[in-house]
Amino acid sequence: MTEEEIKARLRLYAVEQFGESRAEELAADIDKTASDLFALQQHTIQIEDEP
Amino acid sequence: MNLENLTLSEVAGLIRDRSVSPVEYVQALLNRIERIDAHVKAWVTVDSEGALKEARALESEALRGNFRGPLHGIPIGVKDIIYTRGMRTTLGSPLFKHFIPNSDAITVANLRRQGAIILGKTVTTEFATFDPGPTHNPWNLRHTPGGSSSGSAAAVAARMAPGTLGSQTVGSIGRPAAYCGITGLMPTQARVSRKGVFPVGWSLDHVGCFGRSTADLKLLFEGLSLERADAPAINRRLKLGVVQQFFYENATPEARSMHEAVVSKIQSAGIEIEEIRLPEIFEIQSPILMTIMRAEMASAHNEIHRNNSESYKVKLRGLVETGMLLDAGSYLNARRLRRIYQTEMSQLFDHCDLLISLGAKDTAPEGLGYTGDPAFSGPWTLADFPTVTLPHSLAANGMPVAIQLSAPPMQESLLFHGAGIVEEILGFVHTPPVLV
Repeated sequence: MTEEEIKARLRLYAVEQFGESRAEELAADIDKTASDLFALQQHTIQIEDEP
Repeated sequence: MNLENLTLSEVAGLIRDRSVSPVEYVQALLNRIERIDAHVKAWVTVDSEGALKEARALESEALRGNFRGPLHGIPIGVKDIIYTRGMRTTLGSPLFKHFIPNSDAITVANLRRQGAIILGKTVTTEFATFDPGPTHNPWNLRHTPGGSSSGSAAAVAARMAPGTLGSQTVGSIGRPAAYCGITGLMPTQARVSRKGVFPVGWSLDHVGCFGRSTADLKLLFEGLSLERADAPAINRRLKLGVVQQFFYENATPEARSMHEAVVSKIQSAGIEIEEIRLPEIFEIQSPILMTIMRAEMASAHNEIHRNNSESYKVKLRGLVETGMLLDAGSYLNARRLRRIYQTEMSQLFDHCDLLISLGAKDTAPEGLGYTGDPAFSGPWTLADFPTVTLPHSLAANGMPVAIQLSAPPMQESLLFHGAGIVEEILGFVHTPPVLV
């Protein structure tokens, strides 16, 4: 997934769990979380590509 | 003799040879707390009556030649995230302002068994995370002491207690120790029990301590863990690995230049120094740590958050709620990457005995709305490398600056041995100017 796709997925979960208003308040935290998950994903792909 | 200026290890020896009365010592500290804590705000609860009562009992035993252990008669402050039997434990949260545990944390029980006196509970940030408490830095009251072990660090720096307990999930011992010009120990996680400590992240939490010397930390560690950390038999020069990558890039120019000077000083004193290259996986150490922490926080707060989310402060609530958005696969992937990180980082010790790195990016920030950046401690927490923070100088703004020394997991003996040698070379003798 791209970082934007991860972000979108997390925002969707946040709306489901906490409602629109709270999901909006969490935007910056969600962005940071998505950035971290993307970094881990990229490194995992790298590891799995190695022999 | 100015009792409150004695270090923990000094006063332990003086109590042992009956030169200092535990009752007089506790009273001197209580007097100091009464004089200055209105300014520093390090304490949540001070148990004057209980501490004096215990001191009288311990003094009586000492006079008969009976000593419970090396910490006999020593008053200790306990971070308010750690449970103390019969003594209020607020976890830094209004939700727990009346909570009184009915049992001690294992670490507290161990200290009492050694003859230590629980002086009181020190300020923690809310649930030991990032939203600040009310504590001020004794070096300059306009500055933060760091967090989350804010009160524990400030109490030792301000000579209100010779030693205190803290905890670290990212940088909550290292950062406050660096900011407050005192020594701090984050031990290997498995060496010191976390039972009776409200969790931030179970796999990341470490219980540690603060003092004013390496000898203080060693005594406290042995009291907390009930294990000895005697010097290893080493018949060769100590070798330190200097970690420049990441740390030098992210430190302020002044912090970097002071660190370079200190490394030179250590090298001139005869310690072998080698620059260490970090493995590639280091690039994602912060995302690994934060992903694990968010998920584990969400789990720990699941019940409390359900009915009390509105009362959570901003940063805490953000971490818990983003943790609740994570799926199991993401968490497990982070744990898997952590194992790889730990394996690759351990290989750094093929080239040196201990790692040396900057204690913090800069001195303690001005203002009390932010406890500072834990980025320089996080790598060692994630690696589970026992780490000592040692102050070495004062910056241009008069605030203390520190180094970190890190050892392989379970090698606290080597860590204390090396830290003792380096500490003597550094020769830090400054005291806070504000509240002497």
